[in-house]
Amino acid sequence: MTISDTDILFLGECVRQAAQAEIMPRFRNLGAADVQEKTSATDLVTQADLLAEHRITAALKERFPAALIVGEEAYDADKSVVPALADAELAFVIDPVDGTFNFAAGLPVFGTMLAVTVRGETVAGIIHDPVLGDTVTAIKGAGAFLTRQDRQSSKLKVAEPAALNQMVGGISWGHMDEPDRSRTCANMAKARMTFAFNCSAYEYWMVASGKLHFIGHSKLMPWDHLAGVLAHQEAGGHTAKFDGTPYRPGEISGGIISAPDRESWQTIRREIIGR
Amino acid sequence: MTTAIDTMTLADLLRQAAKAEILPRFRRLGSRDVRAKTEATDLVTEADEQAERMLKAKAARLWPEALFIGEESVSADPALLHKLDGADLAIVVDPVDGTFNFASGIPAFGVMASVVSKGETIAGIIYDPMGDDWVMAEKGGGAWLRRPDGEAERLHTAAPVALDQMVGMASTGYLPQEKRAVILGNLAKVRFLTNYRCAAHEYRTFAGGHVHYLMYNKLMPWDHLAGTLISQEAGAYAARFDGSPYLPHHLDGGLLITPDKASWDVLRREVFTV
Repeated sequence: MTISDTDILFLGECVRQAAQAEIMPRFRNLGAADVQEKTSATDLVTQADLLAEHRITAALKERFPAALIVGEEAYDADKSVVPALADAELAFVIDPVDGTFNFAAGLPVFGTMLAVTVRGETVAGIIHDPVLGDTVTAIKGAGAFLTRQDRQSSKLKVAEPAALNQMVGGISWGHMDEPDRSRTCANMAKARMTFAFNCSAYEYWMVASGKLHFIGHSKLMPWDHLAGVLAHQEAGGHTAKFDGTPYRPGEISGGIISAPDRESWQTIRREIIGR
Repeated sequence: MTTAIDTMTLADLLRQAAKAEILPRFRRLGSRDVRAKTEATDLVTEADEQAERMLKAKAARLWPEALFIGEESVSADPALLHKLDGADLAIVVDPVDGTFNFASGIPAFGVMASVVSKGETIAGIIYDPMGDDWVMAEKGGGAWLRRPDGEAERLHTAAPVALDQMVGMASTGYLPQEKRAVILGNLAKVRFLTNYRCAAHEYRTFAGGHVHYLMYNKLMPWDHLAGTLISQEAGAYAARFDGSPYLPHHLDGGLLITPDKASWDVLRREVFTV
């Protein structure tokens, strides 16, 4: 199974249309009944998430009837779809609104993501900004590109490596348990500047564009990471799980760090994650 | 409260400046359009400078009696900042709050203005160029989300919650290094911490009742006067670390803002142990 350039254009268009039809009309326009808590007050799902996922899923099923389609909602209904990514012939992984907390709070920092995997390898990833209509597209072996709404395109490249006290980055420790949580939190003081955008779409976009040096996460749901990790790798970066092994579709634990190169990765692993 | 400066007129000016000088440059800055000020993460762009120039010129025509203080004007003339405390009437402007985000292509930036009269903030406005709306307050008149079509919605802070359920924002970058590690470690006690590097959006999110605390240590007036008034008018408790009120001439001493005094006390004792 291969994914053609025409398929990539189709996928980009599919994401753009869902964002325009189902997400943007609801931004800053959600009623109380349109937002539901899942596991906690900060784990939210809105009508925009549900309807955008439906729309993207329907379009994918029509064009790729045999493909495995994984989204948060599909996962809630059947948990086996995530481990099935490890060897599915062709699969699509959707995050309709990444950064739902921001979206529901009216912060324009959210994105729509789509990853394509073939037999356990991510071959394409899309990160779309519904607000401005800009899109990052990564294709395995061909690079990562930002395409503006006016079709101007530029190639993404990670930041030059820097000393830790000059690095700008963020580690999402919200899902870490103690003692890792307090230790990692306190270690962030070693970096120049820290961020917590609560939105992996933007975190990966920025780390792949060289605007941030590093990001890290402890929870690895595939819709949050597959597209972004490919974009970061195609922009020249080094991403690996905390134990140093590559991150693969289907895996959900082990923590992950993205850094400009292997040496910076090791510094962050040792000095920030620690232990 | 009636003042010499009509708040809605000032709000419209912020919107005009964003449309003319800021939005057209977003994700289109060339390398020569961005310069580092004091260090690599302290940036100024063409958008900041041109927007402030436009706001200053328009304010001078509309309100010639008001002192105009902008982030970029003070960069050029630091003595200007000291005139704020004694001014009968002043307009304090941050043309692009969240410049690092703006220059990086992250859509979390805002345009802010406050009106200060005799050492007190009497109006605050935060404009969001991406969503095209304002949050604003006049002292004593409540906090409001307003849209250009005239729609308005009153804002209220979140209901107080226990420490381990709190979600909020803390800017720890300007704390002394040894304090920073301690406070970051303490922050593991809350539900989670976000940090958008943009006071405009952080105050907006807090006043809308979506988060439970805001903490800042470096208190430049263009970053905090508008948001603090808006938060207070939305029902918040705001004080410096020593418990005293935050006033326009304060530049340090910390600022912690919470839905109520009890939340403030618990965060001060358990987390922000400065």
